[in-house]
Amino acid sequence: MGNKKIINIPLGSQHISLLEPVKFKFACENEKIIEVDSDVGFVHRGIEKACTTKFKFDAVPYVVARICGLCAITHSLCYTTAVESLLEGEVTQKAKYLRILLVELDRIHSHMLCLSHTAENAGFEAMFMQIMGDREYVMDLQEKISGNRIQFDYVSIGGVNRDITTDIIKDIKTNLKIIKSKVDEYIDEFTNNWSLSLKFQDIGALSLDEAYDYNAIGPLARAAGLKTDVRSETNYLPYDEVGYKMQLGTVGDIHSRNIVRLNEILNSIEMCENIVDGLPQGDILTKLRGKPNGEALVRLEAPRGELMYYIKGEGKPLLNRVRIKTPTFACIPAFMEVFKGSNYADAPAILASFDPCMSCTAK
Amino acid sequence: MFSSIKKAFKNLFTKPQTIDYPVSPIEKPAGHRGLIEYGEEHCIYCLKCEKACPPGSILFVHTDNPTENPKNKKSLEYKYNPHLCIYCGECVRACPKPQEALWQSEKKPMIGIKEDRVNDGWFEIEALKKSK
Amino acid sequence: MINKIETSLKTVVEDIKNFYRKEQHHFLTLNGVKLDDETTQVQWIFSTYGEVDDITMFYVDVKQYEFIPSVVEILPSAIISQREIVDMFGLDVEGSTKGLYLDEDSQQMPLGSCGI
Repeated sequence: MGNKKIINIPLGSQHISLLEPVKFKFACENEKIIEVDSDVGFVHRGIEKACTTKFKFDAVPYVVARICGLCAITHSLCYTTAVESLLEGEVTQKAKYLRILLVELDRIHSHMLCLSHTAENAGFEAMFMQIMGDREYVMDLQEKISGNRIQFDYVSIGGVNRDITTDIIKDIKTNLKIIKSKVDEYIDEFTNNWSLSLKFQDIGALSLDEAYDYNAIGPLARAAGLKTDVRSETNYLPYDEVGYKMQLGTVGDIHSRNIVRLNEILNSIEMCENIVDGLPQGDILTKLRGKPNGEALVRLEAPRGELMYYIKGEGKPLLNRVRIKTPTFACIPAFMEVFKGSNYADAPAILASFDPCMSCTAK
Repeated sequence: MFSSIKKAFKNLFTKPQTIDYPVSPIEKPAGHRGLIEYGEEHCIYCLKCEKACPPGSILFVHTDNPTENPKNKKSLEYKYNPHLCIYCGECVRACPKPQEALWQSEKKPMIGIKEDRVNDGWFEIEALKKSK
Repeated sequence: MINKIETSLKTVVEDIKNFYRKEQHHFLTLNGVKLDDETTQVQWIFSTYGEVDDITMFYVDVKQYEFIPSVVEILPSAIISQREIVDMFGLDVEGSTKGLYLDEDSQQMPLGSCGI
């Protein structure tokens, strides 16, 4: 028997199917991948050091929102919740409801971007253009509520910045009805069209045992059957009053991840309609006094998984330590495990279905 | 399976969704973020807007010919950099007189072109402030 | 509520092995906090599936030259957090070298005791 040769092929830092730079080195034997090596620190900017030396504690929400473009409001909201627990004062119920409204609208447009990128990798470019065109309805709503399309700058320490009027509420209801009918058509396409459902079955599977071993989070874990979601494990925001339900899959391959994301979009649309119908009265911004003194740890559910902030202060304007744990950073060991045993030609499609956000990883 | 073929056929006859800006204008909704404007007669020179700005785009520097405002005891002058500003509105919320001395308008900010060297004057102002 | 449990460098692997159950606890991350010019506090943070706000934290105060054992056999996903601690604080962890964010032969430790 002759020896099988092992060839090293890079999925390099510049590639046609990647949105952000990341480098993987695969050791392949006749097209099957055996070993994986990765390099993720291409976009490192030193944000944790800047938050403790250059910016005071009430300017940090604006710094931290610029770590990532797609999950900007979850970073800003998580830090603000952590600081508010160390100051004196209470946030009103109306401000909490408005915060959940924007977080769920952000989740809708982020999942639509991931689904269109997956469809492009299957070769179905017309679906990519169509989902991107329908995403404009959500971006219009975000611009009317907060003033910007992506970097909202909506959350301040003590509440939110802008109020919502009855004209905007009417526009929210019209646009959400249009998006709901489009998402129902997408579910029909993603389950019945052969180039989107047959091609993706049994590729890149993560079993339930492996998900427990590698501590997977987000839609990656829920598609494998693991019941974990930060929205049901914390009570900073009133998610149980607006109708949140956990969506699970069974197999853990690319097809079930797509279906879990589509079902989460439908659940988010239902939550937004409930919020707008039952909005309480009150102020939107309260002044909080004091300087942060002590430790605080807060978790929140970003579109890609679980986000954690740990801050420590000593009663001065500059903080002592800000530790950020982003969802893609914690899932990299799980990514590297899924690649082993699959074909080299499937690697770009598997990477796009994880929804990696490299600006969050290398902060 | 055939619904996508029917939809592709229908899309041949509808007009495209792209707006060809700058030939045709974009409609902006009411209340979008624009330039920060300053009314000097009502200002009390408390310097709260300078402390609240996250990137540091409002600075009060010493000047030799101050205005005739009786509250201007240290001969300061207001300087604003529209290219460093992030249009968040923190300065307006920190001001004690928000609609008279400092407010956010709906005017479009100007574009920064490399040949104009827009930041050279600002570096001198920052050096002057640091040496005080 | 955070439950903080103090441990030592010789017994930290045993303590985590006795505490961690695969289907009940979730490993979040590893963290380091600079206390003064010579000591750094290293923290291992866990949470529980299904419970509201139940966080457990094991912590050790280490000096700059001490050797920290690795927990990768119990928690396979800790490998990347250990590489980040080596980069940012300049500590010595078993099985990890610099190279995640900084260059491989760099002498800097941005968040550590020297603060370069």
